[in-house]
Amino acid sequence: MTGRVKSGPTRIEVEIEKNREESNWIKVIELAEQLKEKSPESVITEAGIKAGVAMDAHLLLGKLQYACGLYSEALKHFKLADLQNLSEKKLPLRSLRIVAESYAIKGLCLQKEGAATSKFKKAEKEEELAKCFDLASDLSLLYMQKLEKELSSNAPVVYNTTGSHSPQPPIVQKALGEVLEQALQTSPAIFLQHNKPEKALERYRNSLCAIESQGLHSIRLKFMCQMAELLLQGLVGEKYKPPLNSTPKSSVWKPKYYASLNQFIPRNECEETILLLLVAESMAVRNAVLSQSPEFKDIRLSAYQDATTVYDLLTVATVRWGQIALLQESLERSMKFSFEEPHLWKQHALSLISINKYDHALSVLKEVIRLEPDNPSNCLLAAKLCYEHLNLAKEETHPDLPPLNQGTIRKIEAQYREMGHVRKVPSKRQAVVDDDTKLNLLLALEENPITPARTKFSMEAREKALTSSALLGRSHLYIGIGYHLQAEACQLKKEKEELRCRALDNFRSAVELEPNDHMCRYYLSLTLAIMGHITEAQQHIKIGLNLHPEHSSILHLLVLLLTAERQHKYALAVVENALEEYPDCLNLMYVKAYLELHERGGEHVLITAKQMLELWKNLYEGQTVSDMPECDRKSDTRSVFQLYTSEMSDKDSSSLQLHNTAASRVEQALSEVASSMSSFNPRPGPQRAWMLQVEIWLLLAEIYLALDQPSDVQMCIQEATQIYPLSHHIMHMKGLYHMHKQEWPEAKLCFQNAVAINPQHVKSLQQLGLVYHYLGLQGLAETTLREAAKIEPKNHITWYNLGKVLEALGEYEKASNAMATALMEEKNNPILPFNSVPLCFE
Amino acid sequence: MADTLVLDWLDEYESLTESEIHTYSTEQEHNHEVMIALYNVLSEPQKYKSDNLVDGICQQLLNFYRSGEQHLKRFAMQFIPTLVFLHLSDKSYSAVQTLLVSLYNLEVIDSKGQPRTLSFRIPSIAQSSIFHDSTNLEPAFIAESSLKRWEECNTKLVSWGPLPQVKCLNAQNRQRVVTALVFLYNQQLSDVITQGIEQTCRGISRLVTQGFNADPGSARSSITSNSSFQLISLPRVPVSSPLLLELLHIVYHAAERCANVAVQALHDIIQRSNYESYTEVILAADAIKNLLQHSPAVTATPRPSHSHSVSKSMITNASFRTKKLPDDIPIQDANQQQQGDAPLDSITEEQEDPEKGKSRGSVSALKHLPKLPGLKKHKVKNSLQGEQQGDDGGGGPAGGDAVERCQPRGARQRRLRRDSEGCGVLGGRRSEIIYCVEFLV
Repeated sequence: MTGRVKSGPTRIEVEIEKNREESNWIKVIELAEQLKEKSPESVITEAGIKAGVAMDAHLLLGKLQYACGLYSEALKHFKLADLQNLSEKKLPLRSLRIVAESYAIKGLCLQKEGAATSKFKKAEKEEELAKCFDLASDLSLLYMQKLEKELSSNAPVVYNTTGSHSPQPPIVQKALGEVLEQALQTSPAIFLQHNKPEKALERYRNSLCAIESQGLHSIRLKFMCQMAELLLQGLVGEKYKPPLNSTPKSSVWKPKYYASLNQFIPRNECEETILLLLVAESMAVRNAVLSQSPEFKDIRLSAYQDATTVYDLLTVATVRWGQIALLQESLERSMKFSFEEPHLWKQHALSLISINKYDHALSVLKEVIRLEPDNPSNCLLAAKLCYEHLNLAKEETHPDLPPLNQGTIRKIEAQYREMGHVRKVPSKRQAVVDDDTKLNLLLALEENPITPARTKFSMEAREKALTSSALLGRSHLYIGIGYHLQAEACQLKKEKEELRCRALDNFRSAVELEPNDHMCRYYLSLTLAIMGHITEAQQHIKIGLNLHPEHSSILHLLVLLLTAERQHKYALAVVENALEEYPDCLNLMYVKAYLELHERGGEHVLITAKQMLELWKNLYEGQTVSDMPECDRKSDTRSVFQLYTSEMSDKDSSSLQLHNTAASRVEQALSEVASSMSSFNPRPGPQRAWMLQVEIWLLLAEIYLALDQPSDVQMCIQEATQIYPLSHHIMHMKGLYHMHKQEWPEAKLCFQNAVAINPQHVKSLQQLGLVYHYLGLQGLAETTLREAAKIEPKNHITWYNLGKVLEALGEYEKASNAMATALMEEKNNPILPFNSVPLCFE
Repeated sequence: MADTLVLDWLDEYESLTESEIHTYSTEQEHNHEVMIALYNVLSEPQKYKSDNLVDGICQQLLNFYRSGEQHLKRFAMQFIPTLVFLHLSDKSYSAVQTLLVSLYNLEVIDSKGQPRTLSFRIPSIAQSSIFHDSTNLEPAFIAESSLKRWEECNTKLVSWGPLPQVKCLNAQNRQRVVTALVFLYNQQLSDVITQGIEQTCRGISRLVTQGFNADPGSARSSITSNSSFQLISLPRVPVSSPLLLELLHIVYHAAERCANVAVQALHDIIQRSNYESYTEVILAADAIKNLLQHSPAVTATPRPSHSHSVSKSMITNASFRTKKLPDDIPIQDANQQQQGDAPLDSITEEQEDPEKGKSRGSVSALKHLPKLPGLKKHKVKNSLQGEQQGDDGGGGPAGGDAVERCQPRGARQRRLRRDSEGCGVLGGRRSEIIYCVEFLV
């Protein structure tokens, strides 16, 4: 066809070309007019005899008119060419393209032409428009498929054997061409403009079901993303129809579709979306540019952007359904080409946290913090991760510290100077607070060169928050929590007190910055309570309760504070009310059981304990019998829509006590040894759930002990031992049992075992001292009790026991002092230790 | 004004006879005026002093829901988020609580009274589908995990539900119940009127920022309503991470229909989730933010995709698939050189389209264009269409340089190269070879 025209005046063409380059459109039209006079019109007249040629000429002329912007003229020519009645027959490659382009141009002309007046006409036009684009799309796809086939059949064999061609992707040589590409893309867009998303979906699907051909990669990728977006945004809604089970009918004007045996056919929106995005990901990853040299920067960024779009869509599609493991797999692949790109790194870190791969997550987060030094929320995330899940990581992260200290101080100093300039911007009070705390922080850092790592992140967060200041309060809170945890783990009295003071300072600043935040009040109150300032703690916890009247941990702490003030009845009422709001909270039930033991006696408590066992069965039995691998089960419990998610994902509401990490490690190691040596097999399922059951059995044992039913005590201990034989809590309980039966040597052995596992276990030390006392070993008793007093100076039982021992030693003055201390401390002692309240973050 | 409208609406339904309900229900679907009035009343009921207005509305919505008419049910469902927000921020409206519990209990069972579940399969990339052929995949994708997923495809389903019925709302189940309700609302999001979506987004913003405005120094980018002043004394509303995820879904949907409020709501959710350190919410919200920032929305006018030219030394993932012997090219090019012209010409003769023909002799005009595959033709057509696509192809600078360097070659060779660009894969190989020849010469 072009061959025929080509003989025309080339000079004008050159001119046109030149003007087009210069965007001199008026000139182009002018020239085109000239050209038109000279070329195809003559073909129409003189060659009218040959119908085929005339049609071709009309089509070409239509295209020309379109190029000139004469849309209605162009349409006229298409009409003359009888385009709409063209029968579907097999066309040679060249004609295929012409027909496809003609339909495309006709569609584009219709689109450009002014809107029709009447409603009926408008609808008619819309329909015609859609049909044109539809045909154009199908024909373009078919054309590309055929083209590829033809080229590959013509190609010399050398180039086609895989593995031997050049080390780069096959060059996309033959693109679809502007017009066809536009038609292909406009086709679904038109439906969307006319608010027919279901039709648009259909069109996308038809285009994507066609077998991919070279040169259509980028359009396909784009379509997949657009289609996934359309589905994800829920624009199709109830009009969604899943793809048919049978492959679409093939005809000579339709492209070839994917059809293989046993192929996946989506049945609903979710399946289709995820499928699309997985396929899109495979394409995006293939195109991602790995070279980092500057000459490829643009290409690399654009490929990265394409991939990011796919990942973002995949995130939206999976997170809501809790399928983050799938997402994380994909994000892991993306790391290969996401060098120094904070967005995907952060997404990867977040996905790792979500699927409980905390260690890995932390190292990725560190990188994110390096990439985004100004974003405090990353540091907060890292801090929370360390506090909540990586209790054990404290020592391991120590190596990071040396750079921290110098770097932090310098950064803080720099910011301090900066703040001098911007001080007027925030309120004056805050600026003062900032300066003070900064000084404190500076001092703290200088004083104590070994700031354990977990505080590091919150420190950094705080520092960064200084600039953005939105998260400043939170940062103080997290620093405080860090110090609080360190204080809990610390064994030296002086250091412990210092850490507590530091925690307190931070909580106070946090409260000042965020008077509306219940968490700050909670921790402030907790620290105050632990330090013995019960009244002040009461004040703060009450404000906290006003801010968040339904917070289980706040209620828990309030109950303990009330017991410390000897208001047991009131405390019991509060805990019963709280249990109405949280019927499944084992923590609160545990407190309730102790309170009942104190107030009402054993019979009531037995009911509570029974309830706890039932609850455990309801909540956790399902977890322990399932034979699914660990990670899968986790994905289920974490999933948004599972039955008991709120209870189970909330780790804190069900962990009964703050475990000594070192002790639990020893226990674990011992259990491993035990299981390798004897017939003991650890129970299947998550250990945490089993440990809860152990706690309940031990509680029950204690109740029976109070009820003076030693045989039941023994059975409870038996049950607990079967689950986890080497827990120091169980040893302790066994010791109490023997003490009850006045079997001193056995009791001594038990307590010694417990202390061997956990040297910090005050309760065992207290009893051990007493046992020594009964065995007549007063000196040993005194040292043991003094040890206990060193660990927990505010425990009245220790002082009482010590008093007894001293009395036996004949040191009456010291004994009376110890007894007096016991009396004094007892006034402020809660029914359970304050640090038994859960660590919470929401 | 809104309250009178609502009162009329309440009265009207009261007076209906049973036979009229069906026609009434179809009318209600388009009763936007009342819908908007209801949104207004439910989002700020304290502004309307009429007694028990909220109670009346809740009663009527429940009646609607239980009437058995699909339209009326849908009418009631569209107020779920607004009711949820009202309940979360003020628990004293017992009618709202009752309505929410009833809706929840009715929604978590299906028509036969069985617990309702929604489930779907997770497709595996390793299994061929209607969109791809797994045999063409790179080996990295046929990993153990994807094969395992294929194996489990039909047995291990992702599911929502079954959910337990609840007797009342308490602190423990509140977030779970309202999350389930918002999830169900999200199933029919596309039927909700735009004003409704808008109101919901404003509600989301209010919900997640309430109690935060008083913080010193917390800079909100913009405070939309003048009600921010009274918010200072209000307490914060606890929101769980799953609830925020469902709300994010509404926001993402809204981005398409009422972008302004949606962006504000997204911003507020991001702030809140950062504050609470909710990993999953941050994950999803960051993704949505990035999507809205970088990719044009679906309905945006289509722009032609630019195919990048691929330079030889650039490494992509696809590069790892193939290996090449170093002495391949010289040998092949010798072959090509000899038989090159004739077959190429014949192919291009046949392949050429009208523009090609016209531009045939225009070598000089095209001289300054980088002669890279895909790029040149792109430009030519681009201008011919009579509209600027604003897309410059974006050929790699390196590729351009390479061409620049081989500019002063014979016209024949240049034509040959250009022609070959028009012929797809094969042409690609050839032009590549020609480049090499030029470098070598």
